[in-house]
Amino acid sequence: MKKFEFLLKTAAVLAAALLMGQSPVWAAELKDTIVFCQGNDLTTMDISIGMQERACALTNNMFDSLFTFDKDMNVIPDLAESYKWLDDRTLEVKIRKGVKFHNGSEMTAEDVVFTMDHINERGSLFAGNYEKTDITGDNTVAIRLKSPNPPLVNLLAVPYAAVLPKAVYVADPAGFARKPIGTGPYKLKEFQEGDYYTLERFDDYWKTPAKTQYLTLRIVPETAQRIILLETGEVDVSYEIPGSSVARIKGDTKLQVITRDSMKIITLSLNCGSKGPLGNANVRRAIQKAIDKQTIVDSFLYGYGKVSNSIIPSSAKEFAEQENYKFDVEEAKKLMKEAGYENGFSTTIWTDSNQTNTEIAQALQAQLAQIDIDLSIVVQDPNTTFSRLTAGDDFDMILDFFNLVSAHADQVYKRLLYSTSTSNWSNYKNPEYDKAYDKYSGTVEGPERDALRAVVNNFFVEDVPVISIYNETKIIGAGAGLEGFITSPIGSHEYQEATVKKN
Amino acid sequence: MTIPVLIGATFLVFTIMHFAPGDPARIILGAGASEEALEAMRDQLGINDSFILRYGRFMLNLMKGDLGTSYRNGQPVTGLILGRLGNTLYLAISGILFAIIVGIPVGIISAIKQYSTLDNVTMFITLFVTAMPTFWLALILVIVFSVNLGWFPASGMAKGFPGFLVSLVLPTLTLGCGFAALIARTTRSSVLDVVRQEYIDLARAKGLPERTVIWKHMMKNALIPIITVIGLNFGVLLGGSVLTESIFSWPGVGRFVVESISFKDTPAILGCVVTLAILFTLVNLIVDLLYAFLDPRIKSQYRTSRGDN
Repeated sequence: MKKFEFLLKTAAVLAAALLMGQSPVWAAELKDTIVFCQGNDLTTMDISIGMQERACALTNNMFDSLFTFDKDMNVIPDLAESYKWLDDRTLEVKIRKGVKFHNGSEMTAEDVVFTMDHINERGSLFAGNYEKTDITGDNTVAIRLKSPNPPLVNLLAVPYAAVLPKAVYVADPAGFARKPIGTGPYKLKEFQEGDYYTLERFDDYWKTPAKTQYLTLRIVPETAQRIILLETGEVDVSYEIPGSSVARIKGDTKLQVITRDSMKIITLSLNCGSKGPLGNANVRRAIQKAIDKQTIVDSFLYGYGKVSNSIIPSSAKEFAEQENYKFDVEEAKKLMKEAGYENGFSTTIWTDSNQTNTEIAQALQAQLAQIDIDLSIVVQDPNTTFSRLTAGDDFDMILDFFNLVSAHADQVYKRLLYSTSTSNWSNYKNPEYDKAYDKYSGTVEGPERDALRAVVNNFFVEDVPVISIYNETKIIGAGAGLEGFITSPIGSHEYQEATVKKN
Repeated sequence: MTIPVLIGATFLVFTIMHFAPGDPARIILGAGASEEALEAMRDQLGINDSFILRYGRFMLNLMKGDLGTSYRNGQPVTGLILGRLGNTLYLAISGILFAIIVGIPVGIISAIKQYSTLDNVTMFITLFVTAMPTFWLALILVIVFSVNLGWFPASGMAKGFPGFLVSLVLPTLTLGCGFAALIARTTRSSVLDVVRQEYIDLARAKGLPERTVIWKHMMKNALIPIITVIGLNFGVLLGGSVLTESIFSWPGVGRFVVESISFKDTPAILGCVVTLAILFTLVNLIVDLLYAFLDPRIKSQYRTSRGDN
């Protein structure tokens, strides 16, 4: 009799499942945890301090900013409901109602004012161009600037401009890094620094709650290990895959490779203030012409990179390509002759110990030998490079990169060449440029701004203080069952919609 | 001995870190931070003070058992290290146990069957293993046992039982293999020295079973050099854990040192050096005590010298 009862119950359950469609069966096939890994540990979980890509890769999932980028890197309101420019230096933002922080408290205009003030204290984002933020109405704030800055919404869309809970942050600013509270789709569950960080779905998320319950980041320093862990299925997503390993992952039917052009440009900064040959603009133009970027991308990146003929990443706002950035050895030789260096000279390049970078430095060495430039390579830690620069050490070229997190050209123009910028590694001091930039930066969007931008950009073309070599491609390895994962050109990949099928 | 060693080691590391280029404030704040923010951070970290002042402050705090706070996250370094020390010790101890359990028997068999095929083969293998780079061995182990056979996880430290033990296997093999080979070779030569002594012949002539001859008469005398090698190499093992822990993403002190160096987190690096130095001297103390236990002559030496005082 018992047996019969059991059979009946089973049949009833099965029938119910069939009636409800496929969903219970389908749901049972999904993993409840997505594990992703990257090579370097976070600097900090306090998103307002950890601005690096490796920190935002995790914290991005716990926080939201007033604005965000859509799939094509256009700025859209996020925690902001709408915005409008009251005049060219006042941005009015209407804040979304009913957004909850992980501790259950509701986000208010107070929190936004606190966040803006805090970002200004931190320095880099507003770069001194911040007056104050006031509450102007029911859930409305006005962000006031000292001078006009149209890219402001782009800047407020970066992950580290995330809205912070004032009460929690003020109570213990140093402790926030260990107990981060945001409005994002995931909240912190547990972590062991240098090892793993586990986040749990935030059920009161103001958008649709995340599809997968847990999200774990594992820190795996070795590249080979990050690939092996994918193969053994111990991780579902693996960041920072080198181009040389793509074929191996593609050869495995259980895995997939996800690629996307990033906002990162690998650059060669030339010392414009040098008393040596590099102080001569014709020499810098010659170097620009003598570099065969395509060969570099093909041989050292296995084709996973994009030759960059602009200082601006192609998917950024106000991108412009330069025709005369193209490779031409004969033209380079002519320019060297004009500069009076037809017999060449010796010079140095600084690079870090990253394998791809040292290989590129070697390629540059071979390519510049064609115009009789004898290049010696100095490998040093990025911090050493920075300290030597601030100490005023003499240098010739630096192989470096920038990650344009705001996806707006303005930031590049300001950071790379403005005479007072700490990232002006080309030692470029040109009052004309500063004037041109100020004019461009302070002009609202429209044809006038475009014309002014062309003027600013022309300083790059004419004076060649920085050479862009290539636009990095983000390469991510993942299990074939990963779906709904959104790749971000700035490295803040999103897991809100992501699911992984069980094998 | 511990105190001079500690002073020397910390002074050396402190000096290197002081003169090494790189600005912790910039590492914490990232590129693009304003000069004012950087300056405020430097003040907060106390890195604008002079070298002597900073070293003095560090040593004073060290005497109070305070290793300072990490530049990276403002947490007390002592806590950060204690949280990882256990993991490193599990790995180091299981590495040593593996090396002893494998190395000593192999060495004894090799010595007793000297010049046999078995001896030649094991000695060839031990030479090969000693010469193998840790990094290569680790990857081969991972490819064979994780990727192909799927027996052990390729990296990371699992929690609970038996997951933890399973995840301990590959790092232990990586750390312990070279050490086992070294112990095997030392044991062999040490036993060979003893095996031809007259008292061994006497023991055999007495009709003692071979097992008693080997373990009671031979090994007790052959053990002194083996223990010396184990003690000395414990330091090497702790150093080796830096590489092994990095490869296997093992959350121990070795990994922590590497991370801290990349953040130029001087308090954390110094804390690790102090911890490892203390461990090393402790192990040497244990080795000295073991000598006395094994060799009555050394014990009597201690006794006379104490009597002289």
